[in-house]
Amino acid sequence: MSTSDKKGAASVFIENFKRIPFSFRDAFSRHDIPPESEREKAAAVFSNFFLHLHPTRVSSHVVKPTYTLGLGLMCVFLFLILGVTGVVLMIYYIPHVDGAYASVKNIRYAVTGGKFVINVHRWSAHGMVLVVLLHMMRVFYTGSYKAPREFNWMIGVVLLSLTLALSFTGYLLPYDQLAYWAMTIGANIAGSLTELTDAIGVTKFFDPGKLQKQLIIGGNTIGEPSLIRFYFLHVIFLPIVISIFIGVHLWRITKDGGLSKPLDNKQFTESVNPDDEKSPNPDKTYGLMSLIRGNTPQVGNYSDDTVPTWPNVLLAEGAVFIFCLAAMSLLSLFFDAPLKELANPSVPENPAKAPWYFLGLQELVSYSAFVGGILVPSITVLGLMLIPFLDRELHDVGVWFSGSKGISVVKRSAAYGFFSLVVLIAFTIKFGWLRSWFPGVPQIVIIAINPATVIIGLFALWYFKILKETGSMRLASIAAFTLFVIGFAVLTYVGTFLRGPNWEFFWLQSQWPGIHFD
Amino acid sequence: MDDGEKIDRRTFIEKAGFYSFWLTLAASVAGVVKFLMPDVFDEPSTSFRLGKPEEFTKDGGTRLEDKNLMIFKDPEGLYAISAICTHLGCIVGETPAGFACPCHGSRFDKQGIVAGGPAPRNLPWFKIYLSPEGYLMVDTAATVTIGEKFKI
Repeated sequence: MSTSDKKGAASVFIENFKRIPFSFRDAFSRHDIPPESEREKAAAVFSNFFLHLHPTRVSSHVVKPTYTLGLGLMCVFLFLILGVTGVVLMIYYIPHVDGAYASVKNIRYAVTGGKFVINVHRWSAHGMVLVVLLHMMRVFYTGSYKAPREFNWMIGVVLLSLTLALSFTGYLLPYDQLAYWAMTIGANIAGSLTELTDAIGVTKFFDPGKLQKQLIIGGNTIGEPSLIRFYFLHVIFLPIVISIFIGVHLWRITKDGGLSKPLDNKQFTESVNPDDEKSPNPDKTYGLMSLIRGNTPQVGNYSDDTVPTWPNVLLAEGAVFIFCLAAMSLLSLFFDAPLKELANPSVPENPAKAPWYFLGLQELVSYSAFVGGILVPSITVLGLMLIPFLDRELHDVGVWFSGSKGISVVKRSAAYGFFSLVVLIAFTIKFGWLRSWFPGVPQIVIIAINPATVIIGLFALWYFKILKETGSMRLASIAAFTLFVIGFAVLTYVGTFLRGPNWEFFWLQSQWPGIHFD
Repeated sequence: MDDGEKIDRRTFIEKAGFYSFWLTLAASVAGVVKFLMPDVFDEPSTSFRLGKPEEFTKDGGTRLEDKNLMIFKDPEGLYAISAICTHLGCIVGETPAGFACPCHGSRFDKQGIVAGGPAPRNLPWFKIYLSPEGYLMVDTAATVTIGEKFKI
């Protein structure tokens, strides 16, 4: 070998070594960064594992912030934040009744940044519940559950339930007073089927309530078996299940034709005309990736109101992510996650209140455990799931409130729901209910007739009234959904602000008597 | 098949396969449910000592905090009322009228009889008996009718 060859080999090595960052980037991305041409922008999206859930182009309508409000994205990002902070917390958390509370205090006070992480985890959980509810409202009021998106709406309802289940199992883990009594109450709600079987007198032969309760808490009273079960649900089972459902939910968005949008744009009407001589742009190979459900592939054959996903959608997503991160960080810097006293099986707090998103339910449960804890939630979930199957009217997709008629139904339903609920609750608080008038009244009567069942009746009445009046399932659905939202809001307000010690009515917390039981 | 009609082998295997699949699935689910339900609950005994009868001289009430139980004595005898609300298991506190639940507002009178709120049943009265060793015992697995007091 000659010296010049050796020199060449060395310079090749040095040259390649210098180029490592660039070669690595090329190996990683398979296209130029940032992508320049339209083709590369499309490739950037569909050739990347994490981005390929997106279509390569989206309708310009759906990137308008006022349409989606970024709520669905916020759900995803809060879930990601929860996942990361949750895993971090697992390093210190001890799932044992003798160690759980101390380990949470340990994280708060003896771990650098521990308090911040635990705060972010708790506030993101609260935020996720709120945003999931708001996201559902957005999807409902823009009519986005309609065909072909019915199935994805159902998955959404499942995701709402899973979000609540994750929140519930999460705040049980510190094993403080909130946790202990929430476990007790939750287990007994599962067991409240016994209220029904007792009322019809079959508990001796068939007691599904007791079976459910024992399955959930692994015994008859709260203890180590219960805590470890809820820990397993919170960190393994529910996260896996919800991840699968989130994956399907996001994937279906693309497969169902992207985010919903009003049909009044000229996308199909103008250019599907075969006589149209407009020549498609042959360079747009990404057209195949944006196939939309329809009669034939519309590739390059429509007047284009779409924008490339890169950078439009990705920038929007980045903005929402930064917003979520900033909001959660700020909250966590200034407000500490609640931690009550160590669990005490002989004295609950008075009043013992759930987090805000369950206080409406707690108000309902204070009428009847079975009706408020099982019947009404089941009817609600079932009703939500059935919405797109009962309302098959395909017009007004992507239009807020289906236009002015819908807005008027929303207003009237909100007023009806608000006043009927306030009157009913005021009546209950002022005069009590059946049990206060006839102490010996059988439980079956209480199950059949209590404020919660009256609410269901009042709401059903209004639903059918609107249906008869307008002849539109869409408007009737708007009425029912609005009643659900108002019902949730009013009951939550009552449970949060108007209930004091012994679940009695008080206008203000400052009026609470200083009751302490010893 | 009732007419002695034969099914072909392919159909038979197909059906047998499907039925086996569902049967296996059902058995697995049943197995998981059974797995989740412990055969033995590691829980404390339901009956325990109250003390010697001669310790109960004064009339009045006490609360056994760790048992969530209230013991009362009056001239007619001794009785034990559960402090666990029959609604959703919170611990009732005492009020001038009787007992009240801090979680959902159930009300009971001094006998433990439901007086308002969502509670579906009265607070149970537990059986009090004398052990062979001469101790007063309570069994929280055995109830007595309301008003039945144990004569000391």
